[in-house]
Amino acid sequence: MMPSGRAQPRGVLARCLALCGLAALCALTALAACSRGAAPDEEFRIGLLVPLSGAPSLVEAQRAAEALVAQVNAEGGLAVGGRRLKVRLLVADTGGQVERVMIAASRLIRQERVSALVGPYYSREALPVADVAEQSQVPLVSPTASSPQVTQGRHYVFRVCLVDTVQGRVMARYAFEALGLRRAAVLYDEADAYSGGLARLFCDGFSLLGGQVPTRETYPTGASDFRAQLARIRASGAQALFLPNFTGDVPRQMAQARAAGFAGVFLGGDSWSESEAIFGLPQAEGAFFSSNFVSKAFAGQRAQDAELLKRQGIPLDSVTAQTLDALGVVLAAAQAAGSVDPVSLCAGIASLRGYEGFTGRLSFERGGDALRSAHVLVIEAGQARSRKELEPTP
Amino acid sequence: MKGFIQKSLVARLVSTYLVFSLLGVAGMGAASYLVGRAFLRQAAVDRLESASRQKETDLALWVEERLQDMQFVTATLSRELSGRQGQGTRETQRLLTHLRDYMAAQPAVLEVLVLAPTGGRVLLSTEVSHAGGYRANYNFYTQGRQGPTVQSVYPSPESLRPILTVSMPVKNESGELLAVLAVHLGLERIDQIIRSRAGLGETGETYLVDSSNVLVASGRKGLAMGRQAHTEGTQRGLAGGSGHGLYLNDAGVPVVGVYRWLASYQMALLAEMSQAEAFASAGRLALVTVLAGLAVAAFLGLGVYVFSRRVARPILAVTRAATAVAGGDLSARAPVMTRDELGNLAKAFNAMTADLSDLYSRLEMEGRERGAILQSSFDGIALVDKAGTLIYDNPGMQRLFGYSVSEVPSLATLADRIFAAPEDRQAFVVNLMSDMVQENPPERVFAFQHHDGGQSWCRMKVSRMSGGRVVINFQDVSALKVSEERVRHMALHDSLTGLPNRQLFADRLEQALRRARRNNTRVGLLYVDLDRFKALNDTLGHAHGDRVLVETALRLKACVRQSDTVARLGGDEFVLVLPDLAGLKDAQAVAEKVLETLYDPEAAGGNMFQGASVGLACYPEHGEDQDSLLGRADAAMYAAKRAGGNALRMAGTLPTI
Repeated sequence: MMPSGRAQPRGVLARCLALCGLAALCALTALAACSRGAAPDEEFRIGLLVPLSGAPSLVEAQRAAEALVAQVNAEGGLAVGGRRLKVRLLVADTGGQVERVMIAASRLIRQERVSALVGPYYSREALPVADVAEQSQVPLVSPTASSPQVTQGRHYVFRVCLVDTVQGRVMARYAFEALGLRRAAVLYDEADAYSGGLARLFCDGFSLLGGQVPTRETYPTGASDFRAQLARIRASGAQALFLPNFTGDVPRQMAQARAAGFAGVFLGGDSWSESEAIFGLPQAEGAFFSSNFVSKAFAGQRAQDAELLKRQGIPLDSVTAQTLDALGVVLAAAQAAGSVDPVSLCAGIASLRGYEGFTGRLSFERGGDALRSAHVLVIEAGQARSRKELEPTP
Repeated sequence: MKGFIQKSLVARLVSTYLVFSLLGVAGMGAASYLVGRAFLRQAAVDRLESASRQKETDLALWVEERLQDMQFVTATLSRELSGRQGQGTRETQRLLTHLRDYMAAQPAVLEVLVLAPTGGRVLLSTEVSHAGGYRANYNFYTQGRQGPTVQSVYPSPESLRPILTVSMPVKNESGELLAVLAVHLGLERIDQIIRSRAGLGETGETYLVDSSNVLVASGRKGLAMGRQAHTEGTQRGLAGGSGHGLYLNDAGVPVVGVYRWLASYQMALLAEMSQAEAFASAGRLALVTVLAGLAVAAFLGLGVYVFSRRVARPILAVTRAATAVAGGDLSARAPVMTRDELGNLAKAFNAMTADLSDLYSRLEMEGRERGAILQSSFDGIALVDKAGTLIYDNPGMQRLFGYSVSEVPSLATLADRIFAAPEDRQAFVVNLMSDMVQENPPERVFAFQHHDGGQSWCRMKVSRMSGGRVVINFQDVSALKVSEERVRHMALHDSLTGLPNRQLFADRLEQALRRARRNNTRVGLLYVDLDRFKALNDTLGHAHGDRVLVETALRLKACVRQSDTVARLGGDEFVLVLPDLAGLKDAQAVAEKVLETLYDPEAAGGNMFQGASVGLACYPEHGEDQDSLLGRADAAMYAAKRAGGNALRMAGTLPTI
């Protein structure tokens, strides 16, 4: 009676069921897809802790580091353990405040999971961050933090620049031996680790050589009137005034010193090397300071890097040179270790010998401080000129 | 089971209903689950949000309280610092004791510092080792100089643990800055706020992570402080957003989470609740919906079953009747159970069956009649297919040939049986084949051998039917043939003696002459006339005369070869045709033998054979044709008669009359 009606309803039914099943499957797939985000691509993450906001701002250091990383990535990435890894630079502004530096460092290490940190630049910032790096077992390479305490007793903390003990000794010896000075005074920021540390080390070195330090003057951070201290210095009969302070304070101190009648030689540390503000000052003429970097013609890879900076209009000065060297040390260590694992990377840095950087040949033979040469520069006609290069002393 | 469902209408109706209703119930369950889930998700989010807002407020209040506490300390400090001239050890010790008392009263306070108004030098600290250090580069110091400040959470440089630093200036009555008071607050103490589970249900929890994703405080027992919790919620919260979502927590448990970025503390506050708990009611709602739906479906299924049985019963009845009809029982009738379409169907079916039954019986009767006609037909009728296979033969056919279909399955076999000569068989088959394809084939008459061995005659006519079959009609014409033969014999023979008459004689002579011309042989012709027959006939009667003629015929026949012809031309005149002779002498010998046999005075008292006059003519010596030969022989016979009878004269010796 209904011979043909059998196959069709069954087919419709089967199709209905199949459709329902499909819909359910789609829903499940969609749910599964929402629950997981994409895993990050394998890359070499390096944190850069650099003061950008506030004064002084080291934007050029950031630009130089970014240019170098872009160059490495443009060449297909860094060859590490048979793979080519993209390098990712995660920049954090330290802004000059300790809390902010701590937050930035902690965030880079814990949240962004960087393999290494470059920076901070100032010893007062590097000291607390060094603890974080040490505790987290993430290597830290500071371009400029020169306070001896930064690397002392730590395995994961390195620096490219000269340690203050060497700087202090170099300047003390140069003042005593080369310049024949016998009485030197110091004026420094009492709250700053770099200033205070370097001042003390210079004094110790100068006294050890037989020189006299008639007065050690301090000022609080942020002070702008140094006349009282300078008057005392002038009264002490000092032939030289060592100013291991930052470039925000030094020009004012020089001007006020001359105004106060001080006619002796100004001496300084590597903090001066960053500043045109000091070099251009008439009072600074004839001043000496120690530095990690001397501008000259470079060879090999450094010549290419220098060309790269020039193309992008980034000045190759002491800060950018030390930044690139710190970053270069991290990259070279990753290649040497064949890994970007922080612990392997740390071992890689510690075993780095004779790394040819902008600031000279660097070797980490004695812990975190690079064994390297030092320069003494003199300010002549608004320019810093190399006066003497001192080979590394083991 | 599948077979049963396919075969049973009720089962199909019920199963189709059940499948669709189960799909419906499943859909309803899913819909109620999803809707319930969406409601519950919103409810859970609302709960978590209000809880997290509450906690934020609590946190703010807690910090506010710390600030208020500090106001008291500041007041004390202000008095102490303005009053004293130098940094006497006694005063310092007293201040330190005061600060330590404050610390003891506030367990959250980790350290209290008094900082110089410029340079950030630590004048006094509850941690003695920190005194003399500098805090110039700390935000809490630079900001704290301006006014009460809460420094957002940051890792303490000393302990590397997250801390919150509250600072405020210490001023004297004239508003001169004397110092900065800073208090480091341990965030572990916030736990008490965070741990409160009000409004969070069984599995709900809240926790704080700082900007570097370090867990600051947690409401969950056993969650290690300081461990990193990378969950979707923390990532989004630390990215500076506030909102909610479904994700896996650090233990891999799916949770409903609310995250808030507390910008003033640089921390993310998260409140989470396991999805299992949050959506449990949705599952229950779906379960109840599905169970209720199943119950309704089952109840309706029963209804569908009853209804479809009621609908199906008349259909089944009609089906049963139809099955019976299909099985041959035309008396089967479908019961008319309803007055709707199904009833009409049954009625129509019954009417159809009745018509069918009538038609069937009429056809049956007709068929029987036709069968009887065929059966009783005297003529043979056979139905043959294209290949010549016999499909049907009637008794007439069996009677005619003596064979039935079982003995001769095809016409070819029939031909084998009824024809002795192969050429006859072949002719029969060829004729039949050609007849079978012709529109109007001719009638054919042939002789054949009956099963019993007798010779019979048959007239055959092939008629084509549709579908390539043919009907062949066979008629027994043996009797007709016999009478036809007799008539023909009578026409050509003398009725008294049985000898060929003049007509047949002429025919035979003509044939003999034709053969002689072809074979270059001779034909002898004897013209015989009985002597004194008229006298015998007159004296002894016609009967005796007839006896003489019959005896004469017998004696003449005895004188000649089988191939020779003895004919009676009428009266007492006989002629003998002697074909295929080698010479005249042969004819003469026969003639003399005739003379001798017809003169027998001994027979019947001398009244039977009183001699005969014989004239002999021979082809080609005495004539080329029939007439001249017969005339010469006749003339020769007269010559013999004139010579006194009982003599023989040859044509050539006498002149032609």
